[in-house]
Amino acid sequence: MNRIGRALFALAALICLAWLGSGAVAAQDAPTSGPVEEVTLNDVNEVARDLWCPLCSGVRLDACELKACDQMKDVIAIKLAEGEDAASIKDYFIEQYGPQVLGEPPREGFNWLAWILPFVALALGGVFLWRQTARMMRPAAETSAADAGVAPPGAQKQTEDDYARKLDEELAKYG
Amino acid sequence: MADLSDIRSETPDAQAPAPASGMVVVWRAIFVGILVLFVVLLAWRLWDTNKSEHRASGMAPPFTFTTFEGETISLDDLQGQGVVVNFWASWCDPCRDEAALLEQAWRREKDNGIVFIGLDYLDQEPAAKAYLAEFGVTYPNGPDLRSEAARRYGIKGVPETFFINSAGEIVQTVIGPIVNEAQMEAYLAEIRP
Repeated sequence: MNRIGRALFALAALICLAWLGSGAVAAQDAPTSGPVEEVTLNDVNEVARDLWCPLCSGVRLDACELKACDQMKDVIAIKLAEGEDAASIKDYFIEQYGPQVLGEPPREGFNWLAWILPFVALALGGVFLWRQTARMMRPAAETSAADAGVAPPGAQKQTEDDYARKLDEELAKYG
Repeated sequence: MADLSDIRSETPDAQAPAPASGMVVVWRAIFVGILVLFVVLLAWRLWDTNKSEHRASGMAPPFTFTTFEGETISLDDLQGQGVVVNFWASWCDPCRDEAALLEQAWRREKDNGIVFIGLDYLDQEPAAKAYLAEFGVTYPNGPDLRSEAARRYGIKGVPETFFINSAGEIVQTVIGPIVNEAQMEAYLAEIRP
């Protein structure tokens, strides 16, 4: 595996670790299920902040003051009081309003682009930076020769010697 | 005899591209390919979205829904009858202006081959049921889950009402509340079988 291949592999491994890590954190954040004696506004907003107003454009449910959103928050309170956890409440709203109600695109179909493209851009950017850095760290003479598309000075001198020797030999034949 | 052209041909080509330039071309091709693919996918999605945002006309798009009482109703099952499809929501104030008139018309027309259907748009069941109880609505009503019917009919808000004749064609579309009894009667006359 060449240097670029190793770099890409390391980058992909880092992305996977970051992704798995974020999933684990999200799972830890989810409220645990079970009957809740008293549901506070903070409890409701904890769930509502991961949902979006289905009528507005780009307004989170916890920040929306529409009547429709107040009704949604009422339902969240009822479901929390019944002991439902955040995940099942979100599933309920997805069933009601579709995946648009989530604050993030669901990981399926065309929406995968939204998840993959940033990482692809990051990987391509990383490869570009890696190559640029490697080029900058090469000796100046080698770099300029490579940029000019010609052999290094030593090799060029050798070529000139061969050429001169061959020319002398041919001239000697007819001289 | 070897001439000078032969000698020249044996001289290493000083202008030959370095091996690295081949990789650059490949990377550029990959980058441009991804960019083009992304733009094409975006354009396709935009076209698809615009197509589904047109308000329905001509043949009524089929839909199936389950009422708050649990009965499943499909538009296809209502062939041969006039159908009034009303999109509403409990949070919608203008919907309240027409609720009583819709119920009144339904009670009058249900024996004349006209079916009224209420599709609850982006609403919550407790509030929706309270609304139906408040206006004594008895015709079939249910949630439009995931706004599937709303998208097919291309509604831009609530209330919107579609009058569908017995052949399944949309003959009238009313945007906003129907508050005039004569207007309601004129629309119903167009779909009465």
